[in-house]
Amino acid sequence: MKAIDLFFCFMKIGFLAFGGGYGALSMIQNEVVRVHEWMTNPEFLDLLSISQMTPGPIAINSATYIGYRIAGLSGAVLSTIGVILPSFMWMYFISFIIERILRNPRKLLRTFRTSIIAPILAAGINLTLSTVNDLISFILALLLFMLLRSKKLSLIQFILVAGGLGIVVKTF
Amino acid sequence: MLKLALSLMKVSIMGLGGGYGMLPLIEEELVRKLKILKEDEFLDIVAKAQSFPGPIAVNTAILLGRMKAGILGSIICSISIVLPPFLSILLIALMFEKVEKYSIVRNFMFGARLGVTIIIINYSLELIKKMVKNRVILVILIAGAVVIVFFKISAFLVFLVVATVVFFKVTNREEKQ
Repeated sequence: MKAIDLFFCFMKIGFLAFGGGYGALSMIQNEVVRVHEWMTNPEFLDLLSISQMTPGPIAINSATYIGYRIAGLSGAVLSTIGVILPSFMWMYFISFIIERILRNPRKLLRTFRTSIIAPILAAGINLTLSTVNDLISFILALLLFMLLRSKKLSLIQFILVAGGLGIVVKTF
Repeated sequence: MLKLALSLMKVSIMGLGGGYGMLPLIEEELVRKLKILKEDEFLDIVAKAQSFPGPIAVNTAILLGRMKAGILGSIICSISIVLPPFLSILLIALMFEKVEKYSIVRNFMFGARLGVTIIIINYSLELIKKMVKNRVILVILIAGAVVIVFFKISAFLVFLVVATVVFFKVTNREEKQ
């Protein structure tokens, strides 16, 4: 019955995924790694790396990948349907209700989009604590941070460079 | 309608790196090439798709479909946009299971994991810079993050509590402006 659990779990995630892919990602990390313990942080990061290099929204990629890993094909299908169903509810019903009731829905939406920063930051800290655990990873992380801030690479190129550096550091 | 579904599928196949990457492609296809959508209609749809939860590409597809053919249109369009990533990820998940035991793949993932972690940290910093204009909100957000990380409390719950507090702060500030 894991596939059913996955379906409801991803519906909850889809329903509250404010702030695009990264908001969804923080909720997914919370549910899948911390609450249900279906995956470890490193496994979750593998998924994110893959997701960054393939087409499609992170939420969809995560639902499909996690669903498949936990419960095979039926898990993949149900998780993916689960994560997009709330979009229908939002686009068809709830958005109209909010726009009707509130004179200025922007404030509420801005509130959500600001507040989602807390879970995103938390996911970032949580993942840092589990990946940066020795001197090598600390130095590499610092180096990557400076590289990313220099804004010379697209995110896909950045992940490829990070992976390449990983091979170099671990091999030599 | 068929044209719309097919071009969304095409966009979805090409759209690397998530929802935001897809929007310019959708605009190019539907507004410029197929001319089944006006520029301002597209902007309205994108504004709404971004404001509410859910993947932006999926929300956009649902709204586009609804405009052309109601709920059935929405279903067809969202399937068009979801199917390509669904199949490609499924394929990759299958392959990844086979190759993850090799040390070169593991070493690559060691670097890639750090890379993704840095992307998320950097993204939170950029969001803070862009959205947070007042110190009280900044403190609340950081406190919320710390609570999520160090206590066994659901991120959903913390998100809702933070949102309740932030709502009053955001409201007051914005009304003064």
